[in-house]
Order: sequence, then C-alpha cells, then structure tokens
Amino acid sequence: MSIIRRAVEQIAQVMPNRAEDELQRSHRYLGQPIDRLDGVEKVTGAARFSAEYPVEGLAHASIVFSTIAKGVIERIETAAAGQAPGVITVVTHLNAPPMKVPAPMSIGSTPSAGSTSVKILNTDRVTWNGQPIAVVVAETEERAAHAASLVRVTYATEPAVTSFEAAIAQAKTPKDVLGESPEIVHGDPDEALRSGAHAVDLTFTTPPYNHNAIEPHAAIAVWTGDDRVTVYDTSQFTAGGASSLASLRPTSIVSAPLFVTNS
Amino acid sequence: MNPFHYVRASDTSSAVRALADQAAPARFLAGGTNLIDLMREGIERPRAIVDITRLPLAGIDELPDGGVRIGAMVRNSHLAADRTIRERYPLLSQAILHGASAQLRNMATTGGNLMQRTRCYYFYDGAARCNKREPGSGCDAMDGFNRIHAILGASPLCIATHPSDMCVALAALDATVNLAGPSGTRTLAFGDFHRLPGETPDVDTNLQPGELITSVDLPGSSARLPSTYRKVRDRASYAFALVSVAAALRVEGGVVRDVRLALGGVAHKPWRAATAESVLLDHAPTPGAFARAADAELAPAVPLARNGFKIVLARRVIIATLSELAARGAR
Repeated sequence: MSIIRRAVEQIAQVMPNRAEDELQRSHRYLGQPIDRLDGVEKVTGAARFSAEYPVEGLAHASIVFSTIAKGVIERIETAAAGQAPGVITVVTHLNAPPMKVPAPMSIGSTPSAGSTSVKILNTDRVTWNGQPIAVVVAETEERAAHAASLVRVTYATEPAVTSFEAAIAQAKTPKDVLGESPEIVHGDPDEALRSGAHAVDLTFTTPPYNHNAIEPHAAIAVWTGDDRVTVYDTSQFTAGGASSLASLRPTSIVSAPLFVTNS
Repeated sequence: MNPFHYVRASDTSSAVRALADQAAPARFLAGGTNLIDLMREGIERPRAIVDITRLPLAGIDELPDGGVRIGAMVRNSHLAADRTIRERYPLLSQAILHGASAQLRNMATTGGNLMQRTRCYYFYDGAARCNKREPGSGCDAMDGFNRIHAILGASPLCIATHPSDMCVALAALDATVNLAGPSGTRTLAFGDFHRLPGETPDVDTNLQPGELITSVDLPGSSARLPSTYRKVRDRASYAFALVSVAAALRVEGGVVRDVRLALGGVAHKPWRAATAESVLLDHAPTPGAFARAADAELAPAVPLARNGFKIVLARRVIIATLSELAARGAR
C-alpha cells in the first residue's frame, strides 16, 4: 500500500463521523495539540530555510511570469533589464539551452517530480497565466527583481479555458496517478445507486484555498565541479526532485547526473 | 521593487521638508504594511522614501473637551489596547481588532491606516487595466470578478472599496484629521478626508501634495456612546469586510437622541450613513424604523454582476446591529 493511500485512510479514520478508532485510543499523540519540533525556530526566525545557506559568490535569479493564460509570445524586450545595474544575464526562450521536460510526478521505481508537459523557457507558447517566461540573474536579489520588472512582453492572445466545467468535456483518464491506477472501485457503486431505497445526488463546491508556505519558494544551486551540482531545495520529495533536475540535462550546462541535497 | 532614495526624518517639519526636497513621486513610510507590498508588486514606484517612524507622534493625549488626540505614529495594536480609548471609544478599539492580524496591527500606524489603498484585485495586478493605477487605462473589475466591489458612490471609472475597518469607526465617531504640509497645518473633517472615485479614481484622499497626517482627533461628544462594530467577511479572521457596520445609538425617553452609522466594504470611502441617521433621529428605535433607515440609505445602491448580495447583506447587518444596540439599551 502506498504512503499516500495509507495517509488518506488514516485521515478517514479520524474524521468526526467515524466511530472511535482503536488507533486513536492506543496512540497518545493522535488528536493532541503537539508542538512541532521546529515550531519555535520557525516562528522566531531562527530556522534556516533553503535560501539561507551561506554560499560564496551567489547570484540571484528573479522570474518573469506570463500575464495571459494562453497565447504566443510575439516579442520579449529584455534590453532594459539586461542593462540594469548588477544584471548578469537575462534568459528567455530565445537564448535558453534546450532542456528535456521531466517525466510526470511519480513515486515509482524512477521517482520524478515533473509537474507539466510544457517546455518551460524552451517555447514561445503560453499555457497558463503565471508561466515562467524569463529569468533575470543579477548580483543581488533586489537588482534581479527590479530588472525583471523591466522586461516587456507582447503576446498574441488566444481564448483560454479557465473553468473546470468548461474543460471537463475534454478530460482524459491518465495512465496512472503518482504511479498508481487512476481508478479504484470498491463494490458496484452504479448498481448500488440504481437499486438503493434512497439515492442522494448533490453537487458540492468548495472555495479556493491558497497554500501559503512559511518558507519562500526559493532554492540555491551550487556547482561543485563541471558535472556536479548541489541544490538546496524546498522539497518533501528529494529523490523525485533530484532525478527530475538531472533529467533536464541541458548539455551546455551539465553533462553528468546532478546531486540534490534536501535542506 | 524599483530603486529609490531613502531619507529618515526626526521631526514633523523636517519630514515635510525632506519630502518636498525629493523628486516626485516621494512617499512617507510609516508601518509599511501596505506601501512595501505595493512597491514589491510595482504598483507604487516612489523615487524617494521619507521614513517617519522616528517622528514623536506616538502619543494618545486627552483633549480639553473630553476627546482624545491620537498621534499618527500610534500603532494599531497600542491604540486598540489603550485604556482611554477602550473606555471612551470602544467602537474604535473593536473595529481595529477586526482588521488584519496581530502581526500587522503591531506594525500598522494610525496615519498609515488612513492612507492604505484598495485591495481590488485588478489594482494589484499590473497586467490588468485599472483607472486608479493608470488613469485612462480602463477598469477590468467592471466586467470581472467584482463580488468584493462597491455598491454605493462608485463611478463608471472605478468600483473599488476602501479596505479599512478602523476608518469606518473614525467616520462614525466624527473624527478630524490634523495635517502638516509645506504651506502650514490644517484640519480636515474625517468625512472630507477620503474621496469618492468620480473622474479621478487615482486620487484616494484630499491630502495636498507633500502633506503629512500628524494626528487624528476624536471629539468629546462622541465619547462613551453605546456602540458596536459588526463585520461580515468570508473568513472568521484576516479577511477584508464584505460589509461592516460601525454603529452608536443613544436612546432617551423612548426615542433616538443620537445615532452614528457608518458602513465599510461598500464604497470607495468609509460610508457615513447620514440618510439612515436622519430617518432614525427623534423616532422610536423599532425594527421597523431600522429597516426604513437601511432602505433609505441603500436606495441609491447599484449592484454589479457579482455583488448584488451586498445590498441585501448591508440592509440586514444595519438592522441587526442597531437592534442589538437598542436591546442593550433596553436592558
């Protein structure tokens, strides 16, 4: 049984409408307000996050995101950003080295953390609002952020499908989800619904929730040789992250496997 | 964030002078809880910042008329916790504690609260059209996700709302705002401080260029009124008001002798409900009278595609809040 399925079943067991669970009774921590081991460090600012490892000669990158949901980048003006103080380089689809798209998220024998089939920075196509379309590298974080704000983009916009209801007609069943079968059927739900004395058919919607991590979304990559890189990443899935980074293999940057360290 | 020049001032006159000496646009920096966000998003791009956090404006002083003068640098948390404020103006204390989070209130100042800008999504999104951010560019909120937008006093150019809770209480309490500028000091009635969008939604307030808020006065005539603040929002905390009501009600001999009503979340400025007040004054405080007052106030309300519920909600919250105060007085 996968870790994820086990976790889901454990959560189901502590739902309020379930009978009291043996596990809950026997395990003195379940349901108790337990302080996190690193809670004090985190709320006092003492915890070291991935972006806080001391590294000499560090350059800083700031990402430029698309501001349309679908279309083509017609023109991307980077001259002003490139000439801003402290800027080392501006990477766009026009000058980025070719990169492979990492395999979809999987926890199988070859773990992978790929989250999209889009060739990020290797395409002029925009597939979602907020797609990374340029990276500005500078001597300081502030200079990178300012230069990134100077990049100007002109798009040929196309109509986008932005709602679940509009997209569901084109939905496909994937081969697998996180390396597991996409469909799990217990019993015969269709028959149960047909033959049951009562059937309840309701639609529930939930409001959107944002995931607001305490830690900034940032990582440090340190080349420790022509063929080795150490990455301080903000990940719960180091094996997948490492193999996905290695699979990019932009030959002009690195030609051997990458090593990823979780912070 | 754009590069900017930074100056720290030590007193009011040097702060005003320092701002006047800088290349426009220049901004005063107090708690920074809104300005810094706006700078990070590229919405505000000041060429200079005059830091006023060291100005000696952090006092809460009693006035001869029984009122209180609140220094512009008094932090929201200190103001809400102040004994005099809690005794004389509990409405203000309540309203402040309904806003933001403890961490933000520790930083945010009295003057800064008045100066905070709308949280309209389109104002914050540099890729959207916004007449407030870029005059003449248009308004993407008008046909967009406008559930949080204004039902009163909006213009065809702007439907943004003012985000403050504190200011709704200040509007109800007849506060005045003391200013210092390059050509001297002056005082504005709170109702004249913020503006409706009209033809110039880019201008939030009636401050003149280079003017600094030095303090906010609360009059003795607003002290110790039976009052309450009710805020309706999507989450129980850390959310802006869909509708909020600041109300004070004094009933004597079975009739309303003093009533203060202000609404938040419904307009480009804290909305003093003067029409509703005049309907109630000298009348019996009955549910029927509260409903008539709410209806009169909301008669000019205009719903957008997604915020029509606010008119119904505002009516109900006005009636409920006034009924609560009337019941409290009758006990």
